[in-house]
Amino acid sequence: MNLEIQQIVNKSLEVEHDFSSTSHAISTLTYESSQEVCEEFVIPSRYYTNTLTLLAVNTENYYVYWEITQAMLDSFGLDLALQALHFQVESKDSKVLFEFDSPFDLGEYFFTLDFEDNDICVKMGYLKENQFIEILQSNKIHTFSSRIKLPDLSTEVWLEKYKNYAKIIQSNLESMVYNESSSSFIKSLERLYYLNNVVEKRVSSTSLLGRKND
Amino acid sequence: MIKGYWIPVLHSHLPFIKHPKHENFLEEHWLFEAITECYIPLLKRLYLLESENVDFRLTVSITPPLAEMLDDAHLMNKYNNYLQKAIRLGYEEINRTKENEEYCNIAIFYKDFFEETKAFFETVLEGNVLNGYRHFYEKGSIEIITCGATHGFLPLLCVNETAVKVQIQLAVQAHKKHFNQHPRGIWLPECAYYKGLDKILNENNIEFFIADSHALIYANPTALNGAYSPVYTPEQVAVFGRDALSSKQVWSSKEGYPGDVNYRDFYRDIGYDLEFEYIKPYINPDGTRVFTGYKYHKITGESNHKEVYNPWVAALKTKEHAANFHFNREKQIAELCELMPRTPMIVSPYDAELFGHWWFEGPEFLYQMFKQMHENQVIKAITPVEYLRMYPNNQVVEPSASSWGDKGYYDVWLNQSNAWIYRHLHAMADTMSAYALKYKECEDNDYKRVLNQMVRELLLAQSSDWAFLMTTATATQYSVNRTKEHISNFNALKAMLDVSNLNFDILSQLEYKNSIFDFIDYKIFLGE
Repeated sequence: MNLEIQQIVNKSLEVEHDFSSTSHAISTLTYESSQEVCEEFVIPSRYYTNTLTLLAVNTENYYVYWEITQAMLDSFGLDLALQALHFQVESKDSKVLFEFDSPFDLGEYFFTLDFEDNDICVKMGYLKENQFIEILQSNKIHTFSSRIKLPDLSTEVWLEKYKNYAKIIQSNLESMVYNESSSSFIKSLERLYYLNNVVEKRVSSTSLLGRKND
Repeated sequence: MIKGYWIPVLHSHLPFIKHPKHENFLEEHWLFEAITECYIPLLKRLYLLESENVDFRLTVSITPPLAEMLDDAHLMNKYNNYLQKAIRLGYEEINRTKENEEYCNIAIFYKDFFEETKAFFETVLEGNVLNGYRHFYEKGSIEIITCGATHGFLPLLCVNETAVKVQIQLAVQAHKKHFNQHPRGIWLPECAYYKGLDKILNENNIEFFIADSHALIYANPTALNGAYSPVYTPEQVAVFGRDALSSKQVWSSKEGYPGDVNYRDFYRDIGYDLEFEYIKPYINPDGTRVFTGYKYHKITGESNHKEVYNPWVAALKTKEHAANFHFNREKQIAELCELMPRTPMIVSPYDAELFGHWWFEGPEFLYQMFKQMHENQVIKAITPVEYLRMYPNNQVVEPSASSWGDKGYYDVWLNQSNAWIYRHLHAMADTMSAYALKYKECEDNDYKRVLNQMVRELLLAQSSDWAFLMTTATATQYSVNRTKEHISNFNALKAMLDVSNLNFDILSQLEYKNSIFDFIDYKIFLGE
């Protein structure tokens, strides 16, 4: 990473978050608001479905909510008065990152986990002889990133002229084979594959025809 | 010689609020205040720039709920009443202050302000604020972009991907309805992005969106020109990053221009200051004191002591601040030019409603900014599309998931105060997908009406404003109730279908009250 780019990155992050939704326009408009609510509305307390949903809050906080039906509990022979539900937060490679228990068939939970820039999901189940028996799996989410990805990206400078791009990556890749670990090599291969795909897509896209290099 | 580009972006949004049963409903005033103090003052100055042959460019997001409200006959009729009342108060105020020339001059200023607003609204805008925006959109000096259909916080709705697709597809349809053009850009609600959203944007022919700067800096890989030139996502949608420095200069509560002692004090209003019996006809009928728009004091300082406001001195101050803003951008651009292999751009997005409502002199500041640029010819205001035409090749990155909310992620819209809503929003979206499929071949128009209204109720519940207000604890009761109202309505409509017993009174009431998107077709939830 050359000095200029480092400076640009730093400038882009200057006073980051100084302006935020705390000064959102609607806050000033709602300075005046009705004190009385005219009507009360009834909303469902449950939906009688099997649901397990995971949402990201920020780089380290997550929210999960669930509902499990009696029929589903019965099918597993589970009585929540006797045995709690067990929840496991897992990485893409099924590594358990966080666990918690709940005796409720309907609930929600906020948890903290430092695991940036990865795919995670939550599994609901129960423990039987120390074995986790899965009942439901949540949606997968990709966790936030808050890191500048500078290492081995010096070639990105050349992305501005993408016609030369694939060649530049190739030359860097050759040097990596001899100088870096196999995991770095695989990562670079993945990057090359991803970026080449992008280049191919762009070249073949009619929407980009006629565009000139800077 | 042009050394850099400035891309000012104003995000204009208010949640859809319409209460036909009430002659006067306090929350409807949010719209009336925004029209009077923000949208019309801005448009008046744009017309002035046009008459002065000043070249300007402005990117404005007008969200579908706002466009629908500005196009709603019931609400515009109420707006007319609002203006008439404000003018009547003006005459009373002139009479009340006649012994004090200083106050009386300001009373005359406000009376004239409301009368001129009414005249501009009725003549130039022909009773529809959107006409003003259309005028400049068609001329190319304003780039109007769309937003999520009801400003739904997309990263927290994407559990059901169709829900996000519907937010985008309907936004495009609403934009075409109101502006007769396909939107080229979108203001993502709360600037909230998540991995994969660009595919949906691309499918809807959206060329660009605005993101917070950390979406580019923490991107994979990091955007090498930071926030000072756009990037493309893997799906070829351009992303423009917000410049934090120029944002801070305008909005920082400590250093920002609106805090100048000469500007109008936002909080001191005769609706709160004067005797109840005198002001009673001009506040809420239930006796709740509200802003009347008649504010006689300037910021003065941090203490409670407030001196009399002088609008003419304040207007001069905007010229000074515009010159200062221009000087600082010039300096910023000079520094960036040393670092970048191309002419940099600075993207400055702001909430449109803060220009004029909170910062009364804000529209005049914008006017002066465009004049400064026109005179100096060092910085040129352009639109995102114009920059892309000049620099079509950009780095390709996967932007980081982010928002422009406090701390930069999703905290504001998902925390202990509002987490309860998502269970319902997701369940409703799933139901809507299932019912769109179940009634795919439905020929019964009454059933279609119910299904269409179910979509409206879901969309209105999805508005990010409710979750935001629950977090900030302002208008909390209203926000909680509005969310519950739409969830309740949705389930009541669903129950009608489930038992094949349609209640036409309720259906008609809901169609009139929550009337957003008259073109809606529930089959959009088929996700095809």
